[in-house]
Amino acid sequence: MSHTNRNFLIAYILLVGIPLVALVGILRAGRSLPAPISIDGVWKLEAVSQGPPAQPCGKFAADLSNSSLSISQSGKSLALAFGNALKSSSSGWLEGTSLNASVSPADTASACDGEVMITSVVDPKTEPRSLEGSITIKDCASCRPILFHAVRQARHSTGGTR
Amino acid sequence: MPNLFILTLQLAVVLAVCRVVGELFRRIHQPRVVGEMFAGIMLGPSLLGWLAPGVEAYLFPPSSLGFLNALSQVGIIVFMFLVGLGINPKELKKQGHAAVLTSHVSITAPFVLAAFLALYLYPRLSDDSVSFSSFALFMGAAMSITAFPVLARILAERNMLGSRLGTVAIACAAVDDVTGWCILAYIVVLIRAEHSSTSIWMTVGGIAVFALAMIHGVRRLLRGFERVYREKGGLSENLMALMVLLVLASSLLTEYLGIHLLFGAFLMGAIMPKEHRFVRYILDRFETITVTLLLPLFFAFTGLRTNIGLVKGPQMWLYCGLIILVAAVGKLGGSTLASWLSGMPIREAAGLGTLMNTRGLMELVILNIGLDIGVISPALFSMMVVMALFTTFMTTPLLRMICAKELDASSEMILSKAGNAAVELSDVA
Repeated sequence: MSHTNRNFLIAYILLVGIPLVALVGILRAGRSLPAPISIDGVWKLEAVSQGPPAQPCGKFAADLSNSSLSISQSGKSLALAFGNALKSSSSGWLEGTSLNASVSPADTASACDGEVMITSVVDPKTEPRSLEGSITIKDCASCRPILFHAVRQARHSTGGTR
Repeated sequence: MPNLFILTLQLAVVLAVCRVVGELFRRIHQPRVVGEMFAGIMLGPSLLGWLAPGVEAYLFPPSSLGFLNALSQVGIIVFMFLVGLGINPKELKKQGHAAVLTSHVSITAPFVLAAFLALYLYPRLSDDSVSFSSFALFMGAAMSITAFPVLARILAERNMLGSRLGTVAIACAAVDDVTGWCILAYIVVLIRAEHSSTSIWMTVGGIAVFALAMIHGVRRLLRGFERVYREKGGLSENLMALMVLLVLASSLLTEYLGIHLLFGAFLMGAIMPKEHRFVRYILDRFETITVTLLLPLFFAFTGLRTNIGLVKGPQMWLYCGLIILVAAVGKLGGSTLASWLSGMPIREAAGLGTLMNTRGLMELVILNIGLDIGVISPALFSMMVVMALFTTFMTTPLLRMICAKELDASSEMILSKAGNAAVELSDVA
């Protein structure tokens, strides 16, 4: 083997061979890494208890609890978009199986100028995944929370809904 | 049915904005394609949707995006065919050990660093519907890609295509792209297999049979196109239609086999005859409509999916910074080190590293596939788009800084590499 070829071989092993071995190690080490549970996709919400629809925020919250919810997930960070006529969006946060989000209806046609809070818990064992939670109106002591149940709709065939 | 008024308005707006921004970028010595990529982002929620949400909602209602996407995907199918057409594996052989080592290191260095970064990002930006292996391999493939056409454009504009630096860069970029696409094909198969009842080995077997049939069978038949071209000085409309049909058939087969439409288009281009005039002739017939109309639609569609607003808070920007750092260190640093160890002067080696760090349009294509199959989240997609723009944008000024002497010398050089397919592909970008 010539001097040039030997140097090439050494450089190749150092710069290509060893990193590839390291890659195998990284892939093995990563297998045990936990990731947030997946809640990405479109959810169908259904109210299981009535709230106070007489107030503007109550009406808004009731509409939310019977709409479709599209969740775009990036790890623990969530972007939520409500369907139907609401066209309202918000951001939320996932901690373990708990989802927390606040929706401000200020930009919508609703007369509600308060803040609507959504808290729910994901059941990771059911397939399709489901949510149980409540919608509360912030700064309204007399308003009862609206309880809701949501089921994730089937994903697209491409393998993801993002 | 599409709303034809909205669709036509979209085409007009996208075309106008891409042309104007592309021209502005040319004036600051950037390739026009970089400006068009920026224009796409400007039309999306990151700028137009942020400044004038009503205008964005009117121009790009969600119901219209399917048609815009379909048109842009047709453009990308043709584009990938042209990229494959411009790749000539024989170029690498001419460059010897230096190019082999540089091209392989320019893949492994960013790949391994990206996989290492994935250990940190996976719990923060992914979810349990994606396995770590898929996530890490995708990050690796996305970071190790080089935008072969944009690179060729930069080299052509700097009169560097005929230089040693230029030829090595083109050869390495071609190897990177072929390797990157093979890895990506594997990841797509892996992820789709998780959602499919078909065994992964059936899929892999099908793809292997398809690839072998294309390389050893169809390739020979394709020589007929070149033969007719040589004899008649051109191809009839029927033969051109046949070529388009073959590209579509190849795309459909790869989609059916469980990878992606684009792999079929790329492979069909890669196995086409590589005689210079023939390649030029084909490019002339396809590139105008692709470059002026269909690619801007792809940039606009990518921009509509990119929401920089999702990268909020110092933590998210830290992730974004890390991605840019790892991408640049892996690609630029890895290529520089390998070419320097192969005997290239350090300045020239740094120039090569800078060129290899160009990601551009190819990165956007890969990222869109990643988002489609759900292996990356929307926020990560946006960060990776920022990385693609940043690394592509930095190439020209960095190259001017590092290779000022080489640029002066090469501008006086008469380009003898007229036969290089990269000359043609520079027009595509």
